[in-house]
Amino acid sequence: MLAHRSATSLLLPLVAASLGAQHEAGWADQTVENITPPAVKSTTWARGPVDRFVLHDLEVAGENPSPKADPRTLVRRLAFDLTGLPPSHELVQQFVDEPTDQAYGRIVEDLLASPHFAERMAMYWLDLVRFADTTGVHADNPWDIYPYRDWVIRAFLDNMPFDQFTIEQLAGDLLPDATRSQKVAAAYNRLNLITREGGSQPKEFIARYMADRVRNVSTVWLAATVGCAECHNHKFDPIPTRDFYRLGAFFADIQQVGVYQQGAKKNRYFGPYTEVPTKEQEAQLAELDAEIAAVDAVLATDTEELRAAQAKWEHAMMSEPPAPPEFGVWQVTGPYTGGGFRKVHKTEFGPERGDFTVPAGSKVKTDWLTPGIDGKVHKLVGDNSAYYLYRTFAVERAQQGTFWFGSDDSIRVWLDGKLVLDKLVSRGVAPDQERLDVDLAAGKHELLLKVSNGSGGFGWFFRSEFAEIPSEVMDWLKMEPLRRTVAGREKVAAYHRSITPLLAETRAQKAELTSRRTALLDDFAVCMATVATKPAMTRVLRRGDWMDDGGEVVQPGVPTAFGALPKMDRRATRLDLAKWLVHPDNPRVARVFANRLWMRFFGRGIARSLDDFGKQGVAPTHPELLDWLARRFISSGWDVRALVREMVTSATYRQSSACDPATQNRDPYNEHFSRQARYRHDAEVVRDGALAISGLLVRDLFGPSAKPYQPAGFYQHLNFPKRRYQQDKGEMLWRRSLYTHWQRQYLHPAMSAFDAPSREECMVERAQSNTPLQALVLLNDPIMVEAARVFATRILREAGDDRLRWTFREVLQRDPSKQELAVLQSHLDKLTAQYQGDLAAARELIAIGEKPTPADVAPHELAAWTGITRVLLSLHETLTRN
Amino acid sequence: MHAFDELTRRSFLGGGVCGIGAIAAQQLMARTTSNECYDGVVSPRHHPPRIKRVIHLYMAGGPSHLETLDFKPKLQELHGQPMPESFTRGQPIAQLQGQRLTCLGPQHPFARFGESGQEICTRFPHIGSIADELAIIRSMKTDQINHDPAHTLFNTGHTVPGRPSMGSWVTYGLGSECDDLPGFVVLSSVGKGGQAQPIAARQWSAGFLPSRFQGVEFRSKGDPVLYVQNPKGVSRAQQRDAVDAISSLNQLHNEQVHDPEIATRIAQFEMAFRMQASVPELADLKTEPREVLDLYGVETQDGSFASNCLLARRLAERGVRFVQVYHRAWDHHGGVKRAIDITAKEVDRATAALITDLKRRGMLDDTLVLWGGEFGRTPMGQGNGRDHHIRGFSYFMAGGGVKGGVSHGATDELGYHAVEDVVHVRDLHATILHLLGIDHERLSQPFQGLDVRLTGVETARPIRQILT
Repeated sequence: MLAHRSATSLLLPLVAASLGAQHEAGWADQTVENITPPAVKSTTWARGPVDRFVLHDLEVAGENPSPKADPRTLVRRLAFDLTGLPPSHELVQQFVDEPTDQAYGRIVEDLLASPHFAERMAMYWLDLVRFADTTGVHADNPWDIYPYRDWVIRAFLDNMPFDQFTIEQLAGDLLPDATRSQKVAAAYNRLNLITREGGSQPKEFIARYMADRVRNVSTVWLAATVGCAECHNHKFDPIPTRDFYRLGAFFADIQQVGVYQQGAKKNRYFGPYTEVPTKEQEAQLAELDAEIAAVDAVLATDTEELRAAQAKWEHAMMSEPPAPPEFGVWQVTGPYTGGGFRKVHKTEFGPERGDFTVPAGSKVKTDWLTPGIDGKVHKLVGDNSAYYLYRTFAVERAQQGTFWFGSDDSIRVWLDGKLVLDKLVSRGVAPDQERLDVDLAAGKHELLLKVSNGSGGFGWFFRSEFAEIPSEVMDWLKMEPLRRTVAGREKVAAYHRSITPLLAETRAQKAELTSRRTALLDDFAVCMATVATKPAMTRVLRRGDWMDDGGEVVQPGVPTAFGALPKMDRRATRLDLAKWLVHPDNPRVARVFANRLWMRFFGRGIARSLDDFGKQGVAPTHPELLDWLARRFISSGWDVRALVREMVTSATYRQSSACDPATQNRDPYNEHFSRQARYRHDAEVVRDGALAISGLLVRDLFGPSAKPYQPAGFYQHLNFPKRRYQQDKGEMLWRRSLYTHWQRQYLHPAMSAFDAPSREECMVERAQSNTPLQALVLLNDPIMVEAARVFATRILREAGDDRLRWTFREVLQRDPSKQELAVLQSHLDKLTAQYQGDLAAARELIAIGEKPTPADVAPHELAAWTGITRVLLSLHETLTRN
Repeated sequence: MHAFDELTRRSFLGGGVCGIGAIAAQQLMARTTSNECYDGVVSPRHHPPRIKRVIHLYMAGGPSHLETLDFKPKLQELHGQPMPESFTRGQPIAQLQGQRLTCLGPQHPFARFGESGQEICTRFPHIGSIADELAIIRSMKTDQINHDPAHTLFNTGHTVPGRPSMGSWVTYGLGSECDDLPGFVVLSSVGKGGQAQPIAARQWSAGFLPSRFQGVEFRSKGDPVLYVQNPKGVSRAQQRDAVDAISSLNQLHNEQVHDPEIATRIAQFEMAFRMQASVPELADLKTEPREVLDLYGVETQDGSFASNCLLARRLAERGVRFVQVYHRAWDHHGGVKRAIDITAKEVDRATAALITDLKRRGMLDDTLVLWGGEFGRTPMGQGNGRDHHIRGFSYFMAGGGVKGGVSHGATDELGYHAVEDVVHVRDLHATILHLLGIDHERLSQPFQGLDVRLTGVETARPIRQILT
């Protein structure tokens, strides 16, 4: 076979020894030697080593490379390949005017330095690791993991070396003094599909999670189909079932449960989590801490005034010690119903305003006697309803204390008419679930509780705590001030400051700051975290049967066919796995990644089967080239950007993709890379291109996933809970598509129409289909119509006299031909006349989308131009990289 | 995936695909093309087909075989007594795990129907009335005990996501017979008798096949097909003009670059435009005579199972290859007696109506109708309901190439294990493909080192005994 023609002559088997006599290392596991690019006959075409490999192959085959693509095509190709966005017409024009090597190099450098380069690289990586915003199984619940996506973008932005990139994802949590960022990276290990379906067997799902991780890690880094060995030895590659479970055992330390159900605070079912504050939040926290420190200083400082007050207080204390508050009886009213749980919790049924009328038909005892009632859990009866509990109490003198509450489910508390506690939560009742510190003035007070329940249990709890003066303070207090020690004096003064009405405001300030701090911490984004615990025992599950308990117990180990870990006298960890993967002597990972990058820039891998470097895969057409790239990748310190640069600056990359029928027949699959490739943009790039051309695109990086327009009812088949899509507003609507909420079971329909994967499994190469649904999306999806309309607005404002030509250039960065202009002109004339005669239709069309339309444009004109831009944004050329 | 470069990028022009590229541009402009003459990778068929299309009435949630198609008098005798441990030892159990297992006798009586005397629950009199058309399989078996994985297995033959669903395999294999509707359509409804378990779009995904083979959902609310409506303020004539302008410009571009994908693009815009008319027309049941509406028991397209059955017939008439009609109402963990009452009323009449209607139109001869869920339910009670059960359950089919009035296979005396002529899900898959003229071992696609088939790696056999 052509592909194998020189592999064995150049490469020596490194790992063959570890395989025993049965198997020779496949091409992908042979040592990557230093290869000298071959000599070539033609001296003018080749620019660098990449080209010499390609040209040598062409010369042997008696073929010629294609001519260089025209400057416009080159800039478009670069822009789409490196950033996923179209170039500006100006950039193209500059290069058309000065199509030099230097200018080309500058454009490459600018694009590589663009944050959008990082986004484009991330898009592909996210397909590989199956990043998504939901669990993927059964109810497909949302989870918190987007900070991992941002980590990936940042890694490409910082050109993080690929070895570090690998290590942090697989084992960031295991690194010494792991940073927050490294912990987020390790969320890679949590991207497997998980379930909350009741009745699922935890043991079965634990087995599934392991298999999921094995499939992913082996496909992403090894292009190996280890997943085939779950139930039986691999049929084609030297991967025994044992190796599947040994690889799985690396992940046996990950804290997880088989069926996720409990711990639903903020719907966070899928712990453990790590906190991920934004920079602003970190700053806010520092600021709050500083303010709290300042208030603390005030609270710790005596003044003349305080000393005087203290003297008075001491006198009063000695002559007449304070009594605990006197509580009145509890008055109870309920149940109040109306709407769902959330609504019941929020609705003001009356008692908030002093109306304690018992609802009709209620059987509750309205007064509960106080003695013995506090400090116990009490039951209530009803579903989806609320009860109110009310009592008064009085304190003789200003006093501080603590109220403790419990509730099933939600609770609200008012003190003297002011809402002081508001917690919408679903839980069972227990003592002391909520704490409320109170700073009471002398006199009468009112306490009102509201307990709302969803379904099931229903109950409440209350107790109060008014500490006596602590004995160590009391002892000093009883002593004459002058006889107290310095420490004793400070103790009494400090206690006084903690209760004196003079500082009540400062204390309230501190309480407020503290509660803001709590709220801020509560607001921090979280990311599902990988936390290592004692590794669970891993057994080979014979025939993949999770109920089998008789299989061999295995320890973590890398697939024997691909090498071995260094000897160690402890259990190997994920960190060992990661380091082995990116060890300079392990050739496979560099080949796998270089091959996939090549696919991104040349339309196919050097080895076509990007996910299978085994016997069932297709061997590389240019093995030396792949080896040279892999070697270069490793020796550059795994420099991703350098590898990309090597590829896109080559003459091979700069070839035209045009292909005459004769060549097409002779070399239909471009065996020799004698031309560039042309293919439709990925789903994200289709949408982002329209947004960019229109001017709608929001270019911010990072952040929570966005929920753009989506057809109503698209989630109708989801349940537990029933889902209603909460579409975002404003800028979130126009973010780049890689930030779009990725619902595994119901991916945004415009994305899936253009072959974006569900990300349930590793996807190494998306399908490239061409379907009527794509046409429907282009023509009718509101975001496309809105982009067309906003673009049309821009035309009316910016285009000058030759509007059609300007518009055409904005989309395609070239001038239209006469015939093209004629098609557009006649379409425009017709639309203008039609909308002039039907202003209502014009207004309807330009009202689509939430971006406001300026008041000063004529509706019929805008509508007609929207018709033109719809056409241009839907063109095959607009959707195609060539 | 490399194998698809071939299919999707280039040889759209050759090998089993009609020559779109060869059609003159003028013809394309004149809208005379029928782009969907893609007639599949199984061309010619592996053997003479018995049917052209499949309608799968998918009873999602897992209907109790014990209250539908599989009568167990012995279970009645043991009602309230402990389930003999010999049945359940070492078996996977869903929500009943760790609980005391007690027999729950059949909650509804059965009767014999038709000349064939097939035993069917009396809550399904309409289905009973067509008993002589049905081949009832009482020995179904699956491997997955929870809804999501069980559906995935039932649809794709595999539990790892990412494999093509059966409708996708079939349209990939055989193409479609209509040029204004997708080849694989999914309908769904909910009922009042059980929890509406979620259904993932994975169930009709094309997996690693190109997305043109994925099932297209027809919805009862909003646009029947996503994005099928023109934007507000754009008339059908204007949409026509827009598509014409796009096609003209694409064609002019093609003269420069000679890209075969452009012809496909033009054709797909044409099909999309046709769908914009054909889909609303299809969903509009007003054109059906009163007598037909009465047969199904529907008034309008209201999203009910009954109206979806009628839609399924209309889709079949128009040449759609594979229709799945989900009814998400069969997860009867509690109160199975009442739940069956309710759910039977939702599906009984319309199921029988569909088969009757197809028959009188002469379409039953080349259509296969399948009826059943992703698994059955336990002979043990879960209170007064039943838990998920995978070791034995029932299905029926009717149509071309299938014997009517026959029963196949059996479960044990308590309805726990399929014991006689066991039919695994993959055997059902093999049977469907066989009837369509496909050898299930020869419809495969290389993916991640395997020649992947719908029926998987283990042996699967068409159920010859029920085939004519």
